[in-house]
Amino acid sequence: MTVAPALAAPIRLRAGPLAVAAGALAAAMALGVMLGPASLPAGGVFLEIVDRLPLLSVDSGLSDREAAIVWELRVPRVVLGALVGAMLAMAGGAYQGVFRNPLADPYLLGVAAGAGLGATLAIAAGAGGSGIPTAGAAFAGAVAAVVLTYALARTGSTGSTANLILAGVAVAAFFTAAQTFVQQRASDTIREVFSWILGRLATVGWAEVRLLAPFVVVSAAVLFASRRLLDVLAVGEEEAGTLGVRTDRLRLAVVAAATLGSAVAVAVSGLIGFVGIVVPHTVRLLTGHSYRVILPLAFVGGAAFLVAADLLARLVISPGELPIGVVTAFIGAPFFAVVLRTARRAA
Amino acid sequence: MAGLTCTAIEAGYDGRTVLRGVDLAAAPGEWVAVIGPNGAGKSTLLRVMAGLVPASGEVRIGGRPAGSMTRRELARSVAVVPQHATIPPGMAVLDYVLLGRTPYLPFWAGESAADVARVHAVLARLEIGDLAGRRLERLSGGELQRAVLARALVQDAAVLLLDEPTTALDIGHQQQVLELVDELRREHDLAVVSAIHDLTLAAQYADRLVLLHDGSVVAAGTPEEVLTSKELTLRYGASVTILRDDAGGLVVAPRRQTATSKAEPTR
Repeated sequence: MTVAPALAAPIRLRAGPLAVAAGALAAAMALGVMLGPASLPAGGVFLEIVDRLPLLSVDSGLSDREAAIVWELRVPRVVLGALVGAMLAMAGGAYQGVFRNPLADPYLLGVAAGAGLGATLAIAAGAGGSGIPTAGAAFAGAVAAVVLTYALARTGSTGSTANLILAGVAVAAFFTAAQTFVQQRASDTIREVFSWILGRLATVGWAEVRLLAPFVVVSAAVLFASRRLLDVLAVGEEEAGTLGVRTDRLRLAVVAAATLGSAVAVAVSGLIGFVGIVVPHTVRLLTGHSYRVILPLAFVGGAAFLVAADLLARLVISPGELPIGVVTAFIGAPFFAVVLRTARRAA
Repeated sequence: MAGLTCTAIEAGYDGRTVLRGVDLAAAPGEWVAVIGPNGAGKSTLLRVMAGLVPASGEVRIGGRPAGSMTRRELARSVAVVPQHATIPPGMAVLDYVLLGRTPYLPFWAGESAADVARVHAVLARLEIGDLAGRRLERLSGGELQRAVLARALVQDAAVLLLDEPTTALDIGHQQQVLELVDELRREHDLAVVSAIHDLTLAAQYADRLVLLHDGSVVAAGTPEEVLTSKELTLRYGASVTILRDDAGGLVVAPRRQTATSKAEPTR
């Protein structure tokens, strides 16, 4: 008796990899809340968080000061790290799909340079290196840069993606030059500007989380909904058109969502590099080409990666802190090299 | 008329006119081959039919003006096998062919089990069912062309456009692909329009030929009517002998040009 061979199944997000990524995120967040310059009992930290949940009330045994460290410093910082990492990684993956360019990252269209100029102007005007006014100025700068990139690309002969990337390069160069000029003129704030640019997740509390969360939700929802059409786009814009996809609309929706989300992430955390490249590519190398898999896993994996990187940034030279951008590149580059080698050997 | 009709098509790029008043019709079950020298406008004409190039004049699909159809509606009516299909690295044959179901999928949902079953059936019909799980870059040229054809077929469109479907294939695989297209158009009553360089293949497989020259239709009709050595010398600057095979099909055979027979194509 012969048995018919099992038919191949289409690529889908499977529970296994998602569980691994979610487990890594849970572990990183737990460690991020437990560990810090002030040593607190793990059980007390756990109970303190349980106490804050709706409808639950337990006595954590922590003092008021310890409870404030947990709830006003560590938890918002970990949550902010997760939101920023998730947003940057998912936006990077989406950019790589819509531009069909493996080097595309969330900063492609001038977000970083625009945010840098906005933040530098705010800091030079006395707004300080962190806080909502500086974040607002960074966001405004990022959006202005991307709008300018789009306007510039439209003046070209076609509205092609190559035009958009080139316009992004030009706008980024211009904004970076302006930022350097402002920084030079206001040299007394140069340290604050420098530390903003390197990125940090130090918060003033929950304000940044409340600012970022709605943008992440909306942006991630749009990108998540576009994941199947990004797979269609892999055959190129013209062929995707013959398959019924309005590629112009898809590109606009994806670019707008990814850019807006990354602009707010950058505004509250500075320029954290490498997450938007290394996380989606790691997912791609481990699970395959499909954006139905890459985008959700990059979202969860990016959150885990940045929370873990922030943990290292806080602990390595404790009680001092490393800039988180240094940690993401320092850990991310060798990790990525290992994944690249392994994936090539497996292929 | 059902099938596809083009009336007075004018199109161009960057101010240069490529098509000048082209008329063409393909009925259900009919195969029309568009022939002509390089740069005559064959690919552009196919791209106009697929709605990829803006043009004046009118394209009707199944009696409806293509201009009044949405991208999705058009993709359900016209399937395209491009000359150089983009092959996404790492994608499996099954996932690639499933892309052909895109015009039927709601925005929020993925493919249903019925879509997947349909793809498996078409892959089996094209005799590449056992390759469903294989990556595209590991297919041979002939297998790859079948995968691209399968993607077009699962669009369930009444019109099938083929842009030079045999360019990269050897003579055996050329015949296999064209025989397959021929069987499928009979099975599904497809209106087939193909741009094709090889005049013998065009004559053997198509019901009617449309000869384009410099953006205009200069001859149209059965292979016997269009493929005359006089016309081919005039339009291609080629020296050819038209032969008949045992089955009565035309064969266009090139031959050496003698000093007296050398001809320049007209512009």
